[in-house]
Amino acid sequence: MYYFRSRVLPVIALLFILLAIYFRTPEPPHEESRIMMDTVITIRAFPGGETNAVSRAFAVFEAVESEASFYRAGTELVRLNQTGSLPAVSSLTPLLQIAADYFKLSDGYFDPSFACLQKAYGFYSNAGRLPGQDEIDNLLKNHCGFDRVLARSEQGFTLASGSLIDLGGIAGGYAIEKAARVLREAGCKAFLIDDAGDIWFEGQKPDKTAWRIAVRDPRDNGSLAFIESRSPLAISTSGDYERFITVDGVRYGHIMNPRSGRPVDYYSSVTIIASEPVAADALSTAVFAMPPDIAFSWVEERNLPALFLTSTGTIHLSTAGRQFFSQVKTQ
Amino acid sequence: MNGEVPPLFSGKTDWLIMIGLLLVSLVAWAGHNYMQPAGFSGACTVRIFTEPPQKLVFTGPQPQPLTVVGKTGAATIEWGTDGRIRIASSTCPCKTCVNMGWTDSSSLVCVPNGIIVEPAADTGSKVDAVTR
Repeated sequence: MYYFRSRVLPVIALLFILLAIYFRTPEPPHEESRIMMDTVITIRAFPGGETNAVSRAFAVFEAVESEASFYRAGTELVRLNQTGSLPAVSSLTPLLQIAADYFKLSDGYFDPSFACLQKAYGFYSNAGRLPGQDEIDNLLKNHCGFDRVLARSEQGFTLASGSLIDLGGIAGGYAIEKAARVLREAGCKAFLIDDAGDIWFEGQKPDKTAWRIAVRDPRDNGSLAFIESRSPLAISTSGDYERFITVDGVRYGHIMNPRSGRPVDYYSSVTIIASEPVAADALSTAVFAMPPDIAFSWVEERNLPALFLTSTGTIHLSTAGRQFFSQVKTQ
Repeated sequence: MNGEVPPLFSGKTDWLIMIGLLLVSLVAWAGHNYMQPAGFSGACTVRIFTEPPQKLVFTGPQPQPLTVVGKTGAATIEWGTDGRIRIASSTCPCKTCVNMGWTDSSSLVCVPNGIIVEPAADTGSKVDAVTR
């Protein structure tokens, strides 16, 4: 009895204290959502960084919006679309260069110059219409093709008359990258940025669990699959269910086939995982525009983790995707 | 004691203390792992991004639809018989939020009206975010 009370009991007590420390409720993260860039942006930063880090990260989104918004008056992009020119030194230059890189990488399937087609279909006015074949042919021939309609010289950028550029396909990913840098430099060890479903996370959460992301199933608003990782990842999904027009009872999504100039209807959603937010953002849009026979082999050749939900309800997972996506629905 | 170390758990009291501690540990462990609320209860948080922003927390389904006023006007949030939630109507121009339909996990968002409905679901599959 003496031995138990003097030796064993203190050890057990110490064990309980250690267990209590291990299972203690961690300090909650700073989580904040703001409506910006025509959507909702959420930042969740776990304790450890500077107190105003999240506000500064939101300021990055504001800065990118003031440069690259298609809608907001006075942005550099609106200036380019309205005047057809932009000086060589512009805050938009890095984004335009990135857009050119992904246009080339995706064989033209990621094309910010499709904005003129989207305008013809009424996506910007919420008054859906179906343009005739002659109108589509004219737009494809004279106003689409990012490498043809946007010229760069020592004097700056020149946009072909009647063409439009919409950088919505990469501006979010670009802003996420810049905001992540701000949080990192402010000392945040673990954080997640969610720009309307375009997600970036890094660092170890205080409870040491893996980051867990659900892929939305647009058919029932449930989960199509899950992604769990302790390593930093960028995840982006393109779909036809949040931005579309309806004409004569038929729904048309906003992503265009660069060959036909018509809205694509191959998939309900395409989710891409990448090591950089811009890559996930641009490639999910590009792959969504590709017909399945091209898209499936394209992601395989690049060892890209991808999850497709086709418009007929078939689910396709790329080989690289098998190590990232779990609990994938079978149909 | 005469320098002798008595055998461990030699007395009845020692055994009772030990069994008691084990039972307490077992209950605490089971509580930590299995006593989380299961299933969707209809609980949700409604955030309205007006000035000042509002936050409404509902701990369960409401018998009547909830009407809130956002940036562009009224929006109606409705609970189904199974506890799921939807934005039944909104004065936004695009109706994207209404088209999102029923949910028990994903958030419903009306950007023009500045309204977010976040289900406080705990179905045993907690997620940090939803890509969509």
